[in-house]
Amino acid sequence: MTANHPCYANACEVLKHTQLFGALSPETRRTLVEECTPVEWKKGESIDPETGTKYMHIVIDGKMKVTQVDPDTGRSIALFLLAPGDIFDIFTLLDGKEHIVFPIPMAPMKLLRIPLERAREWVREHPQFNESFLPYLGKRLREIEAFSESLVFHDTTTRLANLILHHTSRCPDEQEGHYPVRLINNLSHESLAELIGSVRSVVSTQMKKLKEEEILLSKKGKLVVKDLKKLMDRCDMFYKEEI
Amino acid sequence: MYEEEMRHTIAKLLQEKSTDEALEEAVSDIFGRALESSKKAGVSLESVVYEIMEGVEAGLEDSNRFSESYLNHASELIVATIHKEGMKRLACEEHKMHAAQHRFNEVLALESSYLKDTMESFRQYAVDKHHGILLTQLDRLEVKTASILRKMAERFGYNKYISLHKKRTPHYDR
Repeated sequence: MTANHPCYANACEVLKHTQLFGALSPETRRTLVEECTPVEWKKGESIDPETGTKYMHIVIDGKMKVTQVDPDTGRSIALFLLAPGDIFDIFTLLDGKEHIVFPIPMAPMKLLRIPLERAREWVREHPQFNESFLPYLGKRLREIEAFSESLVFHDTTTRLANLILHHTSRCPDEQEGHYPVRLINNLSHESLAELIGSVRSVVSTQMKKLKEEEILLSKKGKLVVKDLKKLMDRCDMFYKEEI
Repeated sequence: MYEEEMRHTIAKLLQEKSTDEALEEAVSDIFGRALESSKKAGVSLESVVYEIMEGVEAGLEDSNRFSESYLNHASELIVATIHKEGMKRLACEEHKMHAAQHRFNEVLALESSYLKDTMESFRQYAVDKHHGILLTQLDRLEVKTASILRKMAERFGYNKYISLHKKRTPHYDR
């Protein structure tokens, strides 16, 4: 992408405010953006499951879930929710091996795409990237660890509370006094179930209870937390301590 | 995205003094697409409905035609669209269910016939080769096979597809 491309300035600006690319020098960020091709994915569009094996994508706008599907039962689990500044697919970037997953855009998405080999070369050419890449990887690994632990040790109620708390802002809305929920605030119960390894019916029951207990409520059709303390009481230590 | 589309479409249609049918069609069409994409993307219908209603209201306000009766009508159209799409999806799933049931019955009947045909084949072999002992032993095996077939029928509950007492052919009805 050249500097006069309509997406160029926005891409540089978005990356400037991300954990992964924010610490890089503006010049380094520009070299990366120039190496990439802008792509757009529509909400709910079917994306080639092998795309992550060929390209590295950087999310600029929108959000997506990365899911694995059991071919026998059709049950799926969402491994990651990706937002602006996140990269996909982190596994193939690291080891270059085939990794079949199903990315599902949950909103109209803008991404930067770069061939995987070139992305690896770029990382080698810019070792300063590792200063933010390694903590980013650590964060992702911790999330996966917490998720696996949660699957084994906690019931669905705790897992759901953990998920919501993980995405809840600790600063209340100045006018309403409730706590905004990021990324997952407009997901269907089916999608929430995918994120905690459960099924829609169980999540629906739990969400109803949380609303009845006035821990959660719906504002403009989106989920917000009304009582953060009560929600935290439902969670395990990892999620209480983070942020 | 759909909120803006709804807003502009409503405002445009009202400015053009379009018919009520055209408005209804637009609301149903845009909401129908929003519904479909929300199902695919795993976004809650609650948020989509809210956005669409905001789009309708903004479109009405843009044209200075705001009235709650329009919103009431839009909500009825939304319910009708959800119902219509739901019925389509259910009909499709019902078709798949019948097809799967048919396939299941076929497999069950086929697997049962393998057992029965095998017994038949053993008997034919024993008769052709004059293996009297084998022929006698086959009676026991047949009892065992009948038990297997009964268990299959019990497990899957489709007795009508499995005949436990296969009619013997005259040559081995001694």
